[in-house]
Amino acid sequence: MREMEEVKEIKVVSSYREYVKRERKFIFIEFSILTFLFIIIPSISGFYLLWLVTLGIIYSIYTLAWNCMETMLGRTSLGHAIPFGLAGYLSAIVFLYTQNSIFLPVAWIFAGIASALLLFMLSLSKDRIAFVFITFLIGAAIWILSPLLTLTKEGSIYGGEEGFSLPPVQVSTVYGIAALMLLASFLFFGIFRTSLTGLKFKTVRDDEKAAKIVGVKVSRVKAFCSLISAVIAALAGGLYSLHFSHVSPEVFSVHIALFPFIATVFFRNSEIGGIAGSFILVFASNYLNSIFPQLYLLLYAALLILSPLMRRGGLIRLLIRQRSLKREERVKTKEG
Amino acid sequence: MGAYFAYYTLESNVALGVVAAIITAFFLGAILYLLIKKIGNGIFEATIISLGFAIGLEETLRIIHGKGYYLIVESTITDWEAMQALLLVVLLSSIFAAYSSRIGIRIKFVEDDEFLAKIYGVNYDKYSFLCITLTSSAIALLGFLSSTSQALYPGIGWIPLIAGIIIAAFTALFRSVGFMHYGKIVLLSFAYSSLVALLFG
Repeated sequence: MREMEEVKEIKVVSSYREYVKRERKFIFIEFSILTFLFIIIPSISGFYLLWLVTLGIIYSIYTLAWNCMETMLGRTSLGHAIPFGLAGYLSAIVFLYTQNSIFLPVAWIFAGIASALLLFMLSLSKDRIAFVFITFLIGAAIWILSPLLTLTKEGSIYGGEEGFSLPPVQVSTVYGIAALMLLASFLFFGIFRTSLTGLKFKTVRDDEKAAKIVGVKVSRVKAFCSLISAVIAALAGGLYSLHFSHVSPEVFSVHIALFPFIATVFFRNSEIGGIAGSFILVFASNYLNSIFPQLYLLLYAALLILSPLMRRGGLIRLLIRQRSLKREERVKTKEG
Repeated sequence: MGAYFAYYTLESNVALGVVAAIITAFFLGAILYLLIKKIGNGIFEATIISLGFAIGLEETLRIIHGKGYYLIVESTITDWEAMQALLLVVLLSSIFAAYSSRIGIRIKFVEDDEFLAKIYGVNYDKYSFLCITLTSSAIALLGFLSSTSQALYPGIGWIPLIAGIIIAAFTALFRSVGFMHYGKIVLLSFAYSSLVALLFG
């Protein structure tokens, strides 16, 4: 479906170069709008709204990182909570022993590289369904086992169900770092998707065998995508734990693992779609939580059930299709 | 869900609780089957729909009961372990009977290839429906029977689910079919349980 749409789009323009030019124009317009929004938001929003927007930005980075595996490799990972959570856990443990915040980014990158190795090894199997299952399984197993992790320092026990603490950081600081990181990721993925290298990568997504035949080094592509995706997800996870100044086993939860999958069902095929989906989920979850604690998980459940329908055409297309079907029915009944 | 039925009925009416758990699970399985049939296409989408359905049920339980843990400390029924063993024997006997009859080959067709199964005249929808609903009922009954051995909380199903996937994945390595496959599942389940007890017991 997605390939057909891309081919259709390419046919409309006279050449691929023109298509890339048009796509990049959109990316730069979207980038400018995002930059403008991120500059004015701190001055017009109160503390809580800024806190919520920061959370939305962190989740958006996470979704973009996850999306890289799907759009470039055609691998749906249900285990991206591993780099996300591992970065939080590792940085908290490093902070517990060193009491120095300077090592936090090092811990995030280390967690990203370790997770990338795991994702790369799993992606070597040609079975894409098995990849979904195994990533989900490993992520869920870590979620269940993580409360067992306890550390003792100077007679006090840390970890377990409660998790670990991190140094308190001002919301505006986390907001600034997260916004810069999101803008950088947005630009990187947007340009990369429309570049010749990106096109080469997409051949792996469409057909690994065919990609090998035309000379694409499939394993290298897999290694690169796994690394980029896991490291950016780890950076998002590190910022997430810093945002809450705390990390608990919930950071590995199935809900975190499923978040990017659900966030991308609203609008397909673009970076801005992933960001919009993440913000919709964060704000909707916040509203539902105010009605009843954890009510947002029912929304997640409903979206997961409807996701096959939505992913085939995106929410907007699905609504338009339903409306046109209703209109057709109305016309038919009138004619009848 | 089966364990929560036990929580409500163990002291009043066990038989009613068992029957209610089985029937409710059957109907929930039927809803899941309909959702997969109407929305899903292939294993991946069926898995995602099942996951969404499971999270929906879990959150419904959480909304009703809160985040608390419940422990059933007293029950009117003894020999729970013997009943679980009996359930295993009944399940294995049913599978053996199914694979010894003409139904066995039909189930194999349904399991391997939907398209081929339909070409050969197997009622694919009927067997899919029965597989989902009957296994849902069996799992609810197992949840009911094992409710006294662990704390009850909405996410109680995650550990058996993960254990089930691990055991199924390892059994798939043997590439066996039919009743033998289920026999190996039982053996690996015992091995897995012993290993978990050894590591975390």
